[in-house]
Amino acid sequence: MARPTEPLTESYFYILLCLYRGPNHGYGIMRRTLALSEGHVHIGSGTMYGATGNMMKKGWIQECPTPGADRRRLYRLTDAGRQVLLDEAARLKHLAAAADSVMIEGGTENEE
Amino acid sequence: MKNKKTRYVMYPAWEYRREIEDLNALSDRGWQLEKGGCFRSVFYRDESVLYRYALDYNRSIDDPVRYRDTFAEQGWEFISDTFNGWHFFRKVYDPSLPPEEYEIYTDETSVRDMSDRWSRLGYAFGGVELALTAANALFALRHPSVTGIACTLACLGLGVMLLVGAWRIRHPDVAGKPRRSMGWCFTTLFSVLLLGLLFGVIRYTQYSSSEYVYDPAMPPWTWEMSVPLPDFYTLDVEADTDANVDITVTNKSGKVLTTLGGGGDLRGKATIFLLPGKYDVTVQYVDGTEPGTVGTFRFEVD
Repeated sequence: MARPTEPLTESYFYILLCLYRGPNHGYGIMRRTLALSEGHVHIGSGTMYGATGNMMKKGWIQECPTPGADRRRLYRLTDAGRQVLLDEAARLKHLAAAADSVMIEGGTENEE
Repeated sequence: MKNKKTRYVMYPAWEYRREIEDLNALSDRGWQLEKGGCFRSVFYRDESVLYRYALDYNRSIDDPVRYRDTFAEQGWEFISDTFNGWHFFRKVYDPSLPPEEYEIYTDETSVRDMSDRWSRLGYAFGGVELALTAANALFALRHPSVTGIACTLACLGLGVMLLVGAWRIRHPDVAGKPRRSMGWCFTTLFSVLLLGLLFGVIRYTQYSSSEYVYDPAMPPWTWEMSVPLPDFYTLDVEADTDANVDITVTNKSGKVLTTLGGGGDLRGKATIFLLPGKYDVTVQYVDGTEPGTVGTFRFEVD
């Protein structure tokens, strides 16, 4: 069966993940990504602008009103974006399980 | 001590990282960018702060406010942008932060997206320049001239430079780091190529036409033309007269450079090399011409 979307880049995956629990702004997404990835994934401003713009065009996220005088842009996940994230998480889990079945649970090379 | 300075230097697009390094080095020496440009950048003196700079190339920003807000959220201050889509940003430098804090593109996909935006343009313009090279070369073969050759070589140089640059920005790891002096080299090379193009584009053409009634008591009719650039020029003459005439081109020292002669419907061409200066084109009726003979003459120098 053909996949509905291509595998996500790390930046796209983390941006969607950081919006899973509720709206967040670019800086918040960047900090949360840094924490979730244990410092391995940093999303720079150019990457953030391009990724959020693309995901808004695809309908995966949308801007929502910012409370008060805060100039920061707040984004939230759409239903379509939530589904993309769930699909990607399932794909990654499947990959990890396949890797574990070979590398941890004692599968042998070229096993039929 | 001066508090402002202007720097005239050009960096090719594929060396934008070199420009960032130079801006950072200037900030370390107390010169902070006030306005960035493709040809001219303005700096002001401030030793109290250190900045790290970022350059983004993006000609199709669909939401400029969101674009700048996204950068501002991570501490990037917008400085200026250029007519051709480059945006200058800076962030106060904190040595305790990791280097990634000063990168605006942080994954391979977005880095490639940015380099693709410029390389597409580079390949397109490079292709156009090569097509112009072919057209100019064909023209120069049919009408050899210094300007035509200069224009052809300039188009070829620009075309090759753009194509190589488009490849380099797309393959930074293979292309390697440019040498330190490339900014100035590029400024010089680009200026020479532009001058070459300009030299070729300014195709010198002058026209004159006159009706001349022969009167032996009057001096020969003379048209003064001026030549701005050294080159081969073609003098194209059309004359309509019943008498025989000599048409000569002389320099201001009186030296005859070429002569066209004949009568009736005279049509002639002469190609001569002329240095910059003023020249006389003289129409002289030969001996025995009846006074009152009418002639019309048309000259074109190209």
